[in-house]
Amino acid sequence: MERPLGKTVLPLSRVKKIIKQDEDIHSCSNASALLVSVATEMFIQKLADQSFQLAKLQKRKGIQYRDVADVVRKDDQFEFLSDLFSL
Amino acid sequence: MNPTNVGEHTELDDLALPRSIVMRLIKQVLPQKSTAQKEAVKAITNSATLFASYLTSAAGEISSTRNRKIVMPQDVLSALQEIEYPEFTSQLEAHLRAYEAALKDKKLKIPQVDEDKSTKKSRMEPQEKLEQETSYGMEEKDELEQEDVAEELAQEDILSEREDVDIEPTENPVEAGYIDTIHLTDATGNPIDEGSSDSDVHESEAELHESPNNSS
Repeated sequence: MERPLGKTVLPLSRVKKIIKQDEDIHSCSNASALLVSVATEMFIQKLADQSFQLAKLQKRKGIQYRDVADVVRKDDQFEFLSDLFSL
Repeated sequence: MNPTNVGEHTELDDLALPRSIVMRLIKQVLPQKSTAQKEAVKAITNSATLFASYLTSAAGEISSTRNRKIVMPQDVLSALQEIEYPEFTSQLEAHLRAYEAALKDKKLKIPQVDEDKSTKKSRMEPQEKLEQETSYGMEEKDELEQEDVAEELAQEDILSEREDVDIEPTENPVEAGYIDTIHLTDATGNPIDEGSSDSDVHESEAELHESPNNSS
């Protein structure tokens, strides 16, 4: 979306915290953390957009939980989330 | 009917990204007047945390196959292919180039040190600053600066959009003179505050990649 390049709107400290949870990671350059952060932003928007498309199909203007869950169920790209949605 | 997995509940809550920022990101892709149920936002927030660790883990694996201990940006980009999000790469590459360019700029200008988190509000003595700089190194300093920028952006998101429109013509005087209609440069260039014509190209590229997503 429209955001300044080379910057993220997510708090980088929080993203780094998530990265540090991974025990296989020794260290991570700041540029890498930035990329993970921006990718996560894009992911949020992708998931939101696809959820909204499902809501729209049912003539709703709001995203509901089941829309998100349906996206995860139907789209292979989101398969890694299936545990979260107990599918 | 508990929508979130109870087992992972607490851990994900600790690592959750700020609701307000996630909400704003979501609203950016939805048409006006559309809403998002609280549970849906929470599900997306938790998914985002999982995505970040999913991507991190893939990047970590790639860096170890390349015999490196530090995860480098190239590993993250390769990891996106690995986890089947190749559509993100071109935009991320643009971000990486802009980030590296901004880093160079900063190093040429005043190397102003941003303090450690604990001392962020109470400014340190100049000597202490120097010690901090040497002990933490350049990387740490950049991270903190980056964070400040992110916080500022979080608060002034709407404002900055307007400012950029105003600033745009003065920032790119060459382009404004070169192209007859200023509206054209506004449409492609307004979110950029670096002002380089190079990043203009990336931005329009980025828009091209975004729009099919939105319409499909």
